[in-house]
Amino acid sequence: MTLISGKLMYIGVISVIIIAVASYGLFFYFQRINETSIRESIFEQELDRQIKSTTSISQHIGSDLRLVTAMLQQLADSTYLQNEMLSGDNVTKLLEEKFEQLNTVTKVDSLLITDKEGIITNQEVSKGLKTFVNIDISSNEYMKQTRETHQPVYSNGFTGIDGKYRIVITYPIISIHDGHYIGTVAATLPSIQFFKNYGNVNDINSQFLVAFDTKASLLAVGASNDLVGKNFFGNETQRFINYNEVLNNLTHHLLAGNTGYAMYDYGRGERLNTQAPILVGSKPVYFLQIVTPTDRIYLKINSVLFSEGVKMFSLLTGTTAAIIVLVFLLRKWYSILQDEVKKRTSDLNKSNYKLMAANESLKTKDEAQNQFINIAAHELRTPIQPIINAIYLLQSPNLSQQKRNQYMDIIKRNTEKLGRLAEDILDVTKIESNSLKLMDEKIDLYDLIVNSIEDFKRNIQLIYKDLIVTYEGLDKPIFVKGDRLRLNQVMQNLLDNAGKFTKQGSITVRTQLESNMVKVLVRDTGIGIHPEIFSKLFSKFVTKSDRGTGLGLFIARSIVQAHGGRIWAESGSNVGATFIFTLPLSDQDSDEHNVRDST
Amino acid sequence: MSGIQHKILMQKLSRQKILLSIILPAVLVTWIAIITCSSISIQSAYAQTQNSSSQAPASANQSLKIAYLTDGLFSDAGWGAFAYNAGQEIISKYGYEVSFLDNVSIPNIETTLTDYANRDYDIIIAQGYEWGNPVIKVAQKYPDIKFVVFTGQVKSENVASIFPRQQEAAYLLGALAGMLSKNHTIGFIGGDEKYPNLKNIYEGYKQGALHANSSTRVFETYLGDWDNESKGRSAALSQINEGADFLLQVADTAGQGVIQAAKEYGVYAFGAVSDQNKLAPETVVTSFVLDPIKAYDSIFKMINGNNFTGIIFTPGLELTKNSTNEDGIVYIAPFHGFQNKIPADIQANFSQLIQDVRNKKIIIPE
Repeated sequence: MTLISGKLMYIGVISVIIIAVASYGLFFYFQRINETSIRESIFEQELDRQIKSTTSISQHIGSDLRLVTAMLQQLADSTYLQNEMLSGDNVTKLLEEKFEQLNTVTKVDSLLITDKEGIITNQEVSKGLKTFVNIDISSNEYMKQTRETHQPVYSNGFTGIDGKYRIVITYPIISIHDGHYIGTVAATLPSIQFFKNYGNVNDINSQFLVAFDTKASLLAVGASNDLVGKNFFGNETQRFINYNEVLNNLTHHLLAGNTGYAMYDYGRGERLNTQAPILVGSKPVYFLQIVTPTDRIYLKINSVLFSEGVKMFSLLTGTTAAIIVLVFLLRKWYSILQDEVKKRTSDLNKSNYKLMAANESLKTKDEAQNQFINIAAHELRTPIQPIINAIYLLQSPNLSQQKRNQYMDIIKRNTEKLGRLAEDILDVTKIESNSLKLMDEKIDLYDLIVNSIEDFKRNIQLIYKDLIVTYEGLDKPIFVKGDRLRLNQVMQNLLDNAGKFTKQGSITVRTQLESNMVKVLVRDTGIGIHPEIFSKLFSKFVTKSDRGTGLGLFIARSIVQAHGGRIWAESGSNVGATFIFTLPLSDQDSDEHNVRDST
Repeated sequence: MSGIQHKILMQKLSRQKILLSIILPAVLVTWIAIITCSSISIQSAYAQTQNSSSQAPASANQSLKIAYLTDGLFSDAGWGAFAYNAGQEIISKYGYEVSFLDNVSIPNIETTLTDYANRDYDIIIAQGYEWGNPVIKVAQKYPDIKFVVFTGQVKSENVASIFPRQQEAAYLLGALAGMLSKNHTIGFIGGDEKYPNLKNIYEGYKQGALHANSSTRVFETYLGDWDNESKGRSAALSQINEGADFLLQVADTAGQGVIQAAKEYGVYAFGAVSDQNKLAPETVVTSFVLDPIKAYDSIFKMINGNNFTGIIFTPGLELTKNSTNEDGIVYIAPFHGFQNKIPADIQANFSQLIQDVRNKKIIIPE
């Protein structure tokens, strides 16, 4: 029997599995919802960050443009230019200094001065570039605006004489004395290099920058340098962006001076575009877009989510592992407990069996004891009554001597019987209390048997006149170690028992040597052993005789066993009985016998 | 992301959801309205821009596509700069589309011409004497294209040339040098002797110097190079060492080396083609200048009148830049800082000489 039945166990396991699966299912469901929320939240953060970043970059560019303008103003207000000295060594030196100063702010590849007709009178250029003194640039829009408005101008993009795409920042040289127009100072900035200071302008696969002038010409575009100088709404650019309506609307919005953002995909992956005009003062002079491939953002988000996922997975795995270990330990503990219970139950059952057996034994003993007491009482009473009667008769005055002797004989015989009974009871008591003391002496069993037979013959000669007792065994000494009196008692008991059930016939005693044992057989020709008592023949108070105490065979078996031998009986139906016992030969006798056997 | 951040995010998200559920409908309606309005206004503005940008330049009679090619450098502050400025003038004055190419090597002239002829240009202007013969050759294959050679002496049915009489201006510079030279020694440094217009300039310069002072020595050096400043400088130093105190250089970029040497040794120089006083205001007394504004007027007049013929124009001296009542395209630049340094009598004589040349009282032969 197990603590939990198989079916209950099965239901329990299934329930645990269902609960576990449901728990994990719910966990992953909520985890997914959680992830979606986090994903949206992080994306919003990224969007917010990029919007702020775009505004910040546009402000930074605006700030740098104002700084360049301030430096150009310093040049225009210099003494030489105010005195209309637009060329010469001093002006060249001043131009060199200012050019170097400008390049600490941003990349300026040319700083030039024109006269009032728009002809370049002096020019400082980056290493490797050519100067273009005497070139007439008056027809350029930025020069016209500068001349007409007497204000600094931030030009649209244009391709220079050398083929490079640039923007120009001009500042008019206005006489501080009478306000007349003397000429213009101008810094040219290669558009790509200028905007490169503020973001990626080369790699479409990363976050990149797009800059526009007021006519929507591209000044820098990270998506493709080939588009620089092209109009955003021109065919080439539109083909590149696949005429994307979202981007076009967004750019229109930007060119109208507004910030904003949008997401779109024109065939090169989804993009997040945030935009802001570049202001100088309050006037938008250029326009900026920051474009991010959203897979970069998602990569970042996924990285965060993966990291969180790993943590959650570790937690989950750890918890699961702990639960599994716990379940395993519980199961192991349960198994051990069950084994222990089985063992204890088994022990208990064994104890119960033993107790039951002991109880049965006690019952048997109790019954035997009661029987013993009853029998003993009966046996004791049986001789007493004749003694009492005989005593009463002896008191009669006219009693003959013959009668007197007869009564005295009755008293004597019954008194002796009482004495034997008392001895037997005493012996049984000793045997059962293990206090029977045996002598350990060398005995000649042949002699003992022969004497016993003779004694028996004398005792029965008056009672069983037709009973013949003979000895047919070995006629030489048979040595055993033991107690002479007790072994004699065994022989007397067996002969007496045979005599009681034979009465007429014969009793034959035999001895045989077998190995180191001597076997003694007492065979009679009496009525044999009743089957009812055969199995308990050697128990106490078992007898079919109306004269016996039922203790003789019990005492005989106890004495034989105490000498290391065995005793048993053989019987046919109404054909007599044979009682056999064995005793170990003493060493000397055994050796002698062996020697005799061998001779 | 830490647990706390995550918690904050979740709380934020929860608050946002509540707020969004209230505000979203209102914002959505407003947003749609704004987007619709701004979209309409942007489209409207864009349409206007497109319309205005599609308008043709008001000054153009017809749209012409012109290629302006030269072997000079736009950066030489003289001859090449003139090419660029002339092209710019054509753009602003006529509204034509002009493409520029400088620094064409002499051996590549013909292939460059053929290349441009194949690109559907209406007019190809080639600046430089060396372009004459290649233009004639290529022009035969492209009869629908008009070719113009500046400082050329070639012509055909679809080829015209402009060969300005630069010797008239050179004559005046020579005379001024002759009047001002203390050493009575002046020099001329040219790019390449084989250019006939260069030879003309030298001859005019020499004639003017001798006219002012018959004892004036006039050195003549040709560099065989138009772009090497060092060669120009070396040639100038050589002449300065011989006593030359006025130098006329007609050598494009190499000529800047001449001006630099004159500046270093305190002698004077004349600029060529453009006003080169800017290169060294204390050294370049004046320059003879080709007037880009008027240079091609005659050509475009013929083209616009559909009566283009193979003509060699030889415009001469004009009094000042863009003198509208004169045909000349060559003038003498202002004295700038030398205005107050040149004696008045010399300036008077010089002015008189200008008048005499313009009035043909003095003829300077080719």
